Amino acid sequence: MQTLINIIAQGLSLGGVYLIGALGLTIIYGVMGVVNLAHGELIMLGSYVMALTVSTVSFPVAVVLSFVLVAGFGVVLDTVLIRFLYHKPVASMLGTWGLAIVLRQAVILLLGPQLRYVALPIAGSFALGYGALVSWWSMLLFVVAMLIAVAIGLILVRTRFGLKMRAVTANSDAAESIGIATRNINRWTFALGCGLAGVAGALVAPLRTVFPGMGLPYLVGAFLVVILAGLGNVRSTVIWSLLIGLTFSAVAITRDDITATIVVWCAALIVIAFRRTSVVVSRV
Amino acid sequence: MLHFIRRARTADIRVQIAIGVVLVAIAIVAPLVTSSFVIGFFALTFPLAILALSADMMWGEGRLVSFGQGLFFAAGGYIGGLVLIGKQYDVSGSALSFLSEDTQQPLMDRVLQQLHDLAIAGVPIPALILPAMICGVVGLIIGMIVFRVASPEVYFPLVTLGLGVVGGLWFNDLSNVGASNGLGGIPSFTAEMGPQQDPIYNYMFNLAFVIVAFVGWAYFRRSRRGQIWRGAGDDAIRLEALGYSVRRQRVLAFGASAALAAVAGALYAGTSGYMGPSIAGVAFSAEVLIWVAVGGSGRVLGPLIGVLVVRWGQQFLSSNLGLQQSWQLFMGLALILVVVVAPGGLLGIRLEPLRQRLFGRGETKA
Repeated sequence: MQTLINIIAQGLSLGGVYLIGALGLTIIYGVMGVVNLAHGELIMLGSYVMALTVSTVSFPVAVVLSFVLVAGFGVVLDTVLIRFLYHKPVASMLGTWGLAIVLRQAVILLLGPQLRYVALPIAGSFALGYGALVSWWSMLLFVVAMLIAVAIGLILVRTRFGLKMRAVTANSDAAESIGIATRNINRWTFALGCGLAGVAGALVAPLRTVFPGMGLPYLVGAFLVVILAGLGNVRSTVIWSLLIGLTFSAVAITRDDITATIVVWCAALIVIAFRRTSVVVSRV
Repeated sequence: MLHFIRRARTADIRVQIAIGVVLVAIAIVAPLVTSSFVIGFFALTFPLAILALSADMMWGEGRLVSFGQGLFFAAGGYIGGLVLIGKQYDVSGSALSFLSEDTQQPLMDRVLQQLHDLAIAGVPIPALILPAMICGVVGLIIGMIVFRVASPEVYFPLVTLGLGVVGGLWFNDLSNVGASNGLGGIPSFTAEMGPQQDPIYNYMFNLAFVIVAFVGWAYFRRSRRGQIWRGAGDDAIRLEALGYSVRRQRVLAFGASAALAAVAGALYAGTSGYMGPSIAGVAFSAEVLIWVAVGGSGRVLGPLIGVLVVRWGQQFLSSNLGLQQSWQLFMGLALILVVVVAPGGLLGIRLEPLRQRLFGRGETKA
């Protein structure tokens, strides 16, 4: 019972990180046709913002700061690189992989390769009976992730910006011709996706070690969610990220991380193999 | 029937043959005039050129980028290495079997020893065939699953990316092949022919494979099957309408690509004497894509030129300029630069205006 509660608690927080990452990936791909392989490095940057600021400002400010800073960085990236890669899936994968290498190396050069640890801003945990302790922070992470998912869903359906985003997703040329400034929509969507990655990094920083190469597992996990959920579908992104988070933590706690990674990917391949309808790139 | 395939991409066949003959001649004469360091460099680079070719088989003609080529390369290297050694990795570092009463070797070791002894002219042929067979079958199975999904040009790279990560972790944990230490002390394919120190034997052995692979690929691209395969990358829907199964093309191509990568891995393991888990990881697979991108994807010589330029650049930067640390940074910048500025790589840089002036005829499309 104690193990089960641990599995659920860890699974939900891990699923939350995957969820925030996958939401960013999925809106970026949906709107501008860019597969962003530098997303793991943006999560890493978010963690660094948290690690460097949390000692001077309170943690909610640090989380907001990592959103703002990484989103602002996203605007810069969009201007210098990403806009050349719109609607070129293969070129965007290679270009953003190059970007990922550069970001990793730049952090090593500027901040050093050493591991950093962030103390839990909300220490302590609550008891759930059976001797199981669940840390407040991992629950906070899960709640924030769900709130973000709801917010993204509402932005897409209820706001003008969301309407324009959906228009650009459906048909970029037609959207442009009826007067939507697709250039701006693209830029702000990319910034939003980057900001979400920053938040994911900030929230996960106290739970894991922070180092320049930390991004890859999150990138791979978030993309696994995207593959299974279909690009651009908020509801199934929520479901699949929680399922994957729970499966991973179940195997990771009872066996080890490596077995968990292997099990999750083999399960994913089996799901793809026996799925009746194939994965379709659907509207947001 | 397949008129829609870009004619412009295939250069005049006489020009191709002439270039090929000149390159082969240079490669055979080169050992007479260069140092053994250069020969060693090329001997180690040739398997990587074959690996790059295996990646371009998917990318250049099928528009499918694989982030898992390193996995097949490493798997081929491990299988080939085990057969070349003739027994599993010894965890304790020394053979303890004679200390125990039980002189019976484990089944795996006996099988490996048998395979090792199946040599033709001193070369253990199973060390090349076995990797190709095993990785080819694995590639076919993965292909059958992955190519079920719509728009594989997006999903295939992502699935292979995940496989690369999983594979890297798995080999890092597999004690039969040395886990995180990697499999060292692999004897060369040409160990029975001459002294191991002289790289000329490895050079010639690997050169033969490079020639076979690249000439075979150039020939295949022109053949009917090759044209159908290129059609799958050009316009999958139209090829499907003509009655060919695009999915079958892709599955077969991935199987062939995996098998070729595995053979390259076995050659590499035999040449360097080592195969490690980091080679199975995604970072190395992405490096393979950087080679192809720099050389120019979709060209016969693109992978070869890309490997030589990048590896030579790496050698130069790290030994002559002492920039070993920032090598990765250069790779990333090079990749971004190629993707944005020269999507066709070095071979794709437009020379049409110059060619028109020199020969009076030009190709309209690149």
